Amino acid sequence: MSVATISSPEGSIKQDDPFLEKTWKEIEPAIHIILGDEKNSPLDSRMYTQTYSKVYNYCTTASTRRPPAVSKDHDGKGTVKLVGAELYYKLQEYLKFYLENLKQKGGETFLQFYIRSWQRYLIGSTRLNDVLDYINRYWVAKERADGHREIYDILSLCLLSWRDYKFHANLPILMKQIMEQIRLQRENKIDSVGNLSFAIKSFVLLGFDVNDLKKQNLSVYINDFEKTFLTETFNFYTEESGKYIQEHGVVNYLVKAQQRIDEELKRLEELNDHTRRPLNDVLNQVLITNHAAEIRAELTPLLDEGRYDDIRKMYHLLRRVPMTVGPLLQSFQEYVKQQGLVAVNQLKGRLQAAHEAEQTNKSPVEHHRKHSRHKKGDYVDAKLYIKTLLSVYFKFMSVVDKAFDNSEVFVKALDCACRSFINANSIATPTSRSKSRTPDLLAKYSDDILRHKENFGNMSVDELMSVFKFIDDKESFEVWYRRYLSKRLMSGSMSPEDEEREEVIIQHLKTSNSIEYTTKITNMFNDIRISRELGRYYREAISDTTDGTNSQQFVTNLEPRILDSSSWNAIFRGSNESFMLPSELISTQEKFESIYRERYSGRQLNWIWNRSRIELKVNNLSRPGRPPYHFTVTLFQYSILSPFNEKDTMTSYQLMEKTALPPAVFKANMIPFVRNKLLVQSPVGEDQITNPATSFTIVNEYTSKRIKVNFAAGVHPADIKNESSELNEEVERRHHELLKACIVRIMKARKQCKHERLTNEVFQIIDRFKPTVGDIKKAIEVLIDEQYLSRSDDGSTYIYLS
Amino acid sequence: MAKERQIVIITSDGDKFPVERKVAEKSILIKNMLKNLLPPEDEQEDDDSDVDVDEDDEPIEIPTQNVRSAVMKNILEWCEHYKDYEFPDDEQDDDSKKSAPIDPWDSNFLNVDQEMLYEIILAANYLNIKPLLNAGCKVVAEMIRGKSPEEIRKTFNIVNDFTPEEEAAIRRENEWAEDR
Repeated sequence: MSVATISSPEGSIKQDDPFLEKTWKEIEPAIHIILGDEKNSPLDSRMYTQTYSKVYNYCTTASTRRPPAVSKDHDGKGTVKLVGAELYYKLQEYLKFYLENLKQKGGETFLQFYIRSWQRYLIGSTRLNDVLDYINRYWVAKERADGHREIYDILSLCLLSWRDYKFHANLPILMKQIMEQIRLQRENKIDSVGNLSFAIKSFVLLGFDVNDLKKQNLSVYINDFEKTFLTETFNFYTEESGKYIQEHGVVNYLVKAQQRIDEELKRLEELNDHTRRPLNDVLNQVLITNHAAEIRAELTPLLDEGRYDDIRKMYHLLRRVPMTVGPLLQSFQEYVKQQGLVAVNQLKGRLQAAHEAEQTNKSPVEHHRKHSRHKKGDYVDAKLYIKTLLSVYFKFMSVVDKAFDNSEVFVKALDCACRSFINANSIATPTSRSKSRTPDLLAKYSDDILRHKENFGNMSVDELMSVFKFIDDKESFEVWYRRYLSKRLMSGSMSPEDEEREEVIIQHLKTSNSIEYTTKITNMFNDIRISRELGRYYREAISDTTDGTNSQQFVTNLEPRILDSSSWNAIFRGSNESFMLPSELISTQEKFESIYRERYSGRQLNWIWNRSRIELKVNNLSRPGRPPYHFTVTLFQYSILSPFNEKDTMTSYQLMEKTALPPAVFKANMIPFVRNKLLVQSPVGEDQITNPATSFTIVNEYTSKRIKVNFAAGVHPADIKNESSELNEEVERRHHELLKACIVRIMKARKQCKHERLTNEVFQIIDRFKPTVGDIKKAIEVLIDEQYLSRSDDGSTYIYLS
Repeated sequence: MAKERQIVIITSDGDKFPVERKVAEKSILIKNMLKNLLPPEDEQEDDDSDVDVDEDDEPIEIPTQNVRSAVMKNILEWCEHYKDYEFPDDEQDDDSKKSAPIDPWDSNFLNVDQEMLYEIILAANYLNIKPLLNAGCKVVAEMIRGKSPEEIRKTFNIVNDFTPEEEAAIRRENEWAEDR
């Protein structure tokens, strides 16, 4: 407000109005005391009410004393004039006089003076506002209601006077000294001039919204204080942080920066809360964003040294600026992935070295046996491999806990890293195009656990599931799992405890995937249970001789296994060799088939001869006085031995003719007899076995330390090398079927769909493995051939054909 | 404050009325004064040289130069009646409140002779007791409502000293008060 407006706007008020002069003279000393005089005289209730009453009397008496206060206003609109203006202008003039006479004491800095006098003046202004309330209540309210925005309530008038006569005139020196104080505080050189916040908060009170005096207006605070404060803060910390990192290194800087941030946020108590955001932004920019790359570069060395506390500090600092966390996540993820790959590489080195040492130490025969049992160069121990993967995963899981507060994004980064190195590493994918072996090795590991080679417990199941969740190709795992399961089930030695363990794992697989995922696995168990029942039923049937048949012509202890070919395809593999069942077993086969048809009519029953095992009690080969031998042989081996009941020597030609076995199968089944010296071969040599002229003679007396001899275990089918490629083919087929089903589902819902969109949706839906674009295209082609889909004319859209 | 200080209101004719603080504080004038003169405990240290109130257990005397004893007695009766009632903040006095009928208790309370009514209204204004001031004005407004100038002059015992020209001028100037 300019000084010129102090004179009455209309000049109609007589300056020498005696009642006004008398009133003013009476209240002026009290106003001086209220605002604060030299002696700091007290205000008491008498002075308070007297001053109030004088103003009341002036305003009320004056209006009745004078002729009706009706006058023309500036805008020509007739309006009632209330009394009060004269006192208001007198006060305005007096405030100017009072403030201009308020002087710094000797030995006092300007800032000290400002804080001291402002504190007192603020109290005085508040009181004056109440004491002169009667002016506010009627005259000021009426003036402002009439749109006179240059008239203020008494408190605002006091503050505005301060702004005009004390604040604006001294702003440069005031700001200089405030910032000087803040700098000293930051440098820890305490030079307190009292409560700085009073000075800073005065900026807030000195901003006005002329239209609504009750509304806070921060224009003064923001323009005259905050801007300078933020700039100086930025400059101060730019210099300090750069120097500090250079001198003390990143790790110490992490502590320093956090401490600085805490200090500055505490300073907010002295400031207006408006500064919170911009101050945060400045600090984040200067202390974090500007150094983020330097800080992040320390992550790898700190991880190498296991300094998780320091990493935690780093994380806590960086997470104040979310955009700096992304690159940190990437660094971490890359680090974990590399650690995983390195660990697998080291394991591979160790295993290869051990494998080579083993090879050279073995005798040629053992070497050969080893070879026939394992795939060429398969030195991988599933347990060590899985444990290695897990050790990396568990190690970094605890790092995520210790250093990153188990934050969700880091858990995710860890999972991504693990998924990457678990599916693709130097053991699982020796070349970039190999199919990952991890599903196979994990299935093998679970087989080890279930076969008691490993201690079974929650621990091992959890471990299994930990790796399982990272496997991209869950279908492949399922196929491999069933392969190992079929072997376990067929070995026939599964106890109720074993079954419980199997059940635990199946439950876990079911929960982490879907019921459908384990359907086949569950079916396999059911098949075994049903088979047992069927076996009982068969034994009851043959002991029932009422229909005149002789139970002697049947095998009594038949243990049938009725297996569903879709779940047990591993078993059915290569089961189509030619074979002639020995005549003494034919009646058993026919009897069982008739029983089966009776119960399950319409089902096709195929015999898997190469899976059949026979327990033989051999009466005539023992030394006199010794108990008879028990031989375990394959059905094929039985068919080879059976003719020796008639004749001691048979040629290869005769035996192959009798059994109708293909030479390779014949050879594989014959080897254990020759090697264990039950049959004497002439001429010797495994390559001579299939020579038609080679003869075999059964020994008169068999010598073995054990009563029980297992010849079946020595049979190694020639085609075992193809097993994994066959399983891989099965996996491929499963993938293809899943893709087709998925595409049909999408197309059924959409009716038509662009190629890109269809591909994207397939990628989103398929979670059990990662199809390639080629796989999807192939599936689409097949569906078009099968007339589920057709191409639209433009060629880019598919249409569903119902 | 550990102990309420005794408050004594002194009227223009010298009578002393000891009152409870919350009764006295129905008057915004007194409420503000107490706020200013009895700063909260924690500020006492800095301020007590400034506010030199007597010993804490001595009563605070509040002189109300413009209200005489008989009127104050009525005012305090009103304040006592409403001491536990929080009047809503009447910052924006909406029309519904303006046209609301007078509270029956107020109506009965203000059923006094005209002279006393005016004095109560004036005192309410002086002491800044808005709800009482409003109630008083409403009673007066009721006395005016629906009456011609002549009837009003009779009710309030006013002699018409306007010339017809003056009267016309006043009517024009007071158009703002007419029903719209």
